[in-house]
Amino acid sequence: MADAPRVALVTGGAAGMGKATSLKLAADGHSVGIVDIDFDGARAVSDAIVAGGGKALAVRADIGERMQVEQAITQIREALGPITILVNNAAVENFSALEDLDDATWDRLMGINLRGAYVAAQCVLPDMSAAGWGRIINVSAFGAQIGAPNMALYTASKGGIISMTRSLAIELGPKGITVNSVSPGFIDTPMARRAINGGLFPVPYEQIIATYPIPRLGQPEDIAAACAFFASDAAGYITGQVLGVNGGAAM
Amino acid sequence: MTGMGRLAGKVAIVTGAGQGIGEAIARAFAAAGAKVILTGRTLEKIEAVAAAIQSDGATALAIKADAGNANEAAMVIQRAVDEWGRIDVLVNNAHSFTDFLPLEDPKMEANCKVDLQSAFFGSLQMMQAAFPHMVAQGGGSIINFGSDFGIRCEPGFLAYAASKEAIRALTRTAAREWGKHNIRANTILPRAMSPKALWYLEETGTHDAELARVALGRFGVPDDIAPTAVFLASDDSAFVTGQTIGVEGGVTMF
Repeated sequence: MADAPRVALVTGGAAGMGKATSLKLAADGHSVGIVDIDFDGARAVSDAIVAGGGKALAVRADIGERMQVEQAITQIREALGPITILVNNAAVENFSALEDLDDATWDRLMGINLRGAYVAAQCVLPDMSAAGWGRIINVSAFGAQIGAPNMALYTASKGGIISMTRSLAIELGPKGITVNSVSPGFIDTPMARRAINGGLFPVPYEQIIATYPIPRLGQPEDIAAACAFFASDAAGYITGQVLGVNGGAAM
Repeated sequence: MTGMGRLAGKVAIVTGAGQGIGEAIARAFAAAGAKVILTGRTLEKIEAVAAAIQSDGATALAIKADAGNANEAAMVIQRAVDEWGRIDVLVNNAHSFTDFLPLEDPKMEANCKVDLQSAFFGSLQMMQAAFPHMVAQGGGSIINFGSDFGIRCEPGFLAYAASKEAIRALTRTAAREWGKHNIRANTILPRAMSPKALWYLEETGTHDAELARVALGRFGVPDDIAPTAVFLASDDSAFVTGQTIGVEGGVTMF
């Protein structure tokens, strides 16, 4: 039996994992609000969903700016209805040695990757509370679990996502809201390709993935499937969990 | 996220499938299109579950087998290959567990051996027997069972906890060694109260305290656990291996 159709919000839904997750949730019968700073990209995803017979709305917002997030969510709620599935996927990367990091860069990234996730959750909480049902899926990263050179800032933001996931799971469980994290490994996304092409890895990436138990790059669809599982009724007794989708790179 | 057809064409073995979590998983696999072999110690129980699955129009076969017996593990695997030519999914759920016992009790070593033989060695034996077939067919998914009690190390449960953590080590080792054969291995930490577990909580006066630890406010039932096994068995989790996932309402956030 299929789940009831619901309204999902995917941040950073214009490309990569967020795009794949938006398409998957739509395929599962949900309406999808796609928020991204790249409006054209988000619009292309919502157009694809609508062309396939689904419901979707793309809205531009900088996830690091509370006012923009609030406005985007209000717009999506008015167009599609109360939001009971939230996928906090929006994030920016940073590769900096410790000596090159500066406070403005730190604050800006944390404002998007970590604060943005809490702001979005706070904005949709009334909808989920009213429904007595909610799914929050926070996308973290395997680097937060095992560490990565020149990625202290990025992995700290994702480690914060994991800790926030656990605490919100305990806090929101009594409201019927589950909170879980999908922790991607090395996934073939525009972000990963920028890192590869920018020469940001100390060795060719083929040598890195060769050390993984499943020696390939993950696909955005691998992440989308895990997010959609956590969003489903079937996953209703799972909360506070971190599921690595990483080919065994972090266990 | 429907179960319909997600496991179509796959052959699955579920040990300890005569009741509880094993039964729920066998039924969910069959509903998702898998052909299922059910094993257990009590033939009548697994035959009853298999009959219920067949009456729903799905395919199931009950085989009496004792977890922890290497000959019987080999027999079950061979039977699966003889009947249906492959083994795509192996769920090691069977576990003969011993009673609550303090560490200093002289029976502790014997108790640990009972748990380890059925659950840890039982899982290992099934995995070893299934391995060549999974390699030959190009992959497979192994689902093993740990416990939040293994992580938490609650007083009085050493035999259970130790065997469950040994299984997690087995699972992650299999993920590392067998990933190159496209064999995935993951651990579920389930929380579904058996009648015996509920009796124990009442008997020890810990029912309310234990329930208070569950973020979602209720104890699980076997049907809460089965969908995660379907996910891990399906190609939706093709990039998931070596992972531990709690399906326990938010008690032990691992």
